[in-house]
Amino acid sequence: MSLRVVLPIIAVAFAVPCASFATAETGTVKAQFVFAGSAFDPAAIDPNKDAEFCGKHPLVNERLLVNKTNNGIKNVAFFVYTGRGGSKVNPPKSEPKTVILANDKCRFEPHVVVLQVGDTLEITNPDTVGHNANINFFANQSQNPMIPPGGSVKVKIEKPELGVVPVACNIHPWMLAQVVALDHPYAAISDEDGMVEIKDLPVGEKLVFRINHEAANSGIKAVTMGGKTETLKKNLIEIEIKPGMNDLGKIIIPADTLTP
Amino acid sequence: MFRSFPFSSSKDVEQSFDATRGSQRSRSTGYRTPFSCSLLTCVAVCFLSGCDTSIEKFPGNDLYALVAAKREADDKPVDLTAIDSTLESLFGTPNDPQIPEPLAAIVDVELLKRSAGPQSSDQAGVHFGLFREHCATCHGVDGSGKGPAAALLTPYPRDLRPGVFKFKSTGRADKPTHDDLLGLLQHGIPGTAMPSFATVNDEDLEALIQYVIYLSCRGETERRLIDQIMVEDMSAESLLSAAQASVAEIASHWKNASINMIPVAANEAKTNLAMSDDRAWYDDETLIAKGKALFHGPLANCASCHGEAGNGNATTLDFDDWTKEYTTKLGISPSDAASIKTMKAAGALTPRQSLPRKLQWGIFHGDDSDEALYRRLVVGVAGTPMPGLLLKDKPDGVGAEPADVWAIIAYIRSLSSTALVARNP
Repeated sequence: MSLRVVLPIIAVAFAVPCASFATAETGTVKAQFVFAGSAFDPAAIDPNKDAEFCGKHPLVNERLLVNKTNNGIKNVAFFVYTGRGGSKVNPPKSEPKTVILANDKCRFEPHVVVLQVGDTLEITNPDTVGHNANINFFANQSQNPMIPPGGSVKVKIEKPELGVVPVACNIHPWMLAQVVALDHPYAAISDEDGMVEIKDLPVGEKLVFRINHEAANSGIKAVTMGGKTETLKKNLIEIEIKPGMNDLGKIIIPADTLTP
Repeated sequence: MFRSFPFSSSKDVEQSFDATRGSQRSRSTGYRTPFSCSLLTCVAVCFLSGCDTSIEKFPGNDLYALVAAKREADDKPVDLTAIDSTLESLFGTPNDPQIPEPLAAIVDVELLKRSAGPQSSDQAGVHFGLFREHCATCHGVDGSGKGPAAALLTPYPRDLRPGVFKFKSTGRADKPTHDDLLGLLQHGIPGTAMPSFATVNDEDLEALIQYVIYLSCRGETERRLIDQIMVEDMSAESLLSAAQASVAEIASHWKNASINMIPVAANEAKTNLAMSDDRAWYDDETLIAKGKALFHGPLANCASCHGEAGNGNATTLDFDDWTKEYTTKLGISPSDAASIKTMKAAGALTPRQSLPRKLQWGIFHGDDSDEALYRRLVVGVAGTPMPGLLLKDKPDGVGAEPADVWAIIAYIRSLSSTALVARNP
């Protein structure tokens, strides 16, 4: 047989097991967090500090943001939980990266930031008024630097955080954000449509995920997924990850669980 | 001492922060009905006159156990029995202290023994039980900041257990130096209920400083063990080795505190003052004007919290980190009476606002020397919303320069009434 015939056959012979080997190794989980209550306009904030500057931009209470079109919940933190009763994961080593948290037009952007141990949180101030970032870490060193206009402060994440860490600007007290710092990359924060997607998850086992939201004062005790009510203990849910796409569809959070 | 009147100050504070709660307020504060007033007085008199209760063991940090559980969206705190017995094997009891090995380099067991135990004195006039004599009424026998008098005080006495201290010469996340603690004992904290202990002899003060470090180290170790046991079950052996590792790390922070002292940049306004000029370096109109501009400007943005010209009239609703730990950090609002009740049952005190200093009073809680004020501005105040100014890392960088910090200090000093009178006789 000529090389022209053999080579493609060999190429395919290698490709097929490689392809199935790759998809067999990891899975992707996708979901849409939806609010069971009615969508509403978030309350407007009347800035009482630096009103001349901050008042120029429309500010709202970002504690609970529900999409008016599809009831998607923004800023739900969804991540693999490795604490007590959680999963053990062994992620591949990843390059440390810098994640930006900006004091932008008198609000924090983004509202929830996710980092891995080894990453750097860079807090910037593109505004023309001074802000501070009071970060009350559990495990890493707590910080509270003033960030002058045009300035920035870098914070290296040395340890994983036990809980979601609040960030506040004390000068402009409506400015709040959250930091999620984990020792693995399997985390996502829902967008304006409530969508989350976590790639490259290990397959063939049930993974414990935590669902966390700022407006869930008494925890998330139950959600509806695939038409069934799932009871959560400590905001944890177990999901079996199959190779390829695991589309969980809508995860509906009851109306009384989230208070704006 | 504007804050020393306990009843009126707590009422004012609670009025301003839960103005919307109306009639609910009288039910939850408990200070308002005559019956509870007299009951409280009886209890306070009983404690303050020294009824001796037997204190055999340190109480467990139930509040932190509940906080750690709530952080995990769990209502049930972990059982502290195993942790408490591990701590007892390392640190002993309120009557019989022991020093775990890593702490032995900084704490002297004989001095510690004089701080511990019940109060007494011998024929030579040497006092024993110093911590209970001088400190426990406010700070509690375990340094929790919840002594019998604590609920009556604004601000509350310090909880030593998180290992966070406000007034020090070191960085925000660092421990205070020995001299920082000695300064606090000798000068007290003007504007708070913390008095000066300058009349206490040097050796007794030394014994107290070491007991403070001992209680803080014990408290911090307990918190770390609680954090660890929330992650996984631990046997008695693993608790002990985890505790020993924690003590070693915490003790090294205490030991190395003085290495972390924040350098104070040269004050050119002071060095440039002519020998013949006998006014203070901060008594300079140009410098004060510069400081005023910085105080109200976007770089430092002091006026947003401290009020225009430091008049303390800016609207703020903020809390210190000790309070946030069992409230906002868990997503609980400090005005949510039902959730606060649960935290109080576990040992928390009613949340009190943390107010930005009214600089026009000219009373600074910590040391008010030039160096201390410089560090206050550059580091901020640990455990509070007061941030640290970012100093430029290069000449054309963004941030403040040391000269800016000195100018702000000059302005702040000019705000107090004594300074105003001196300048406008």
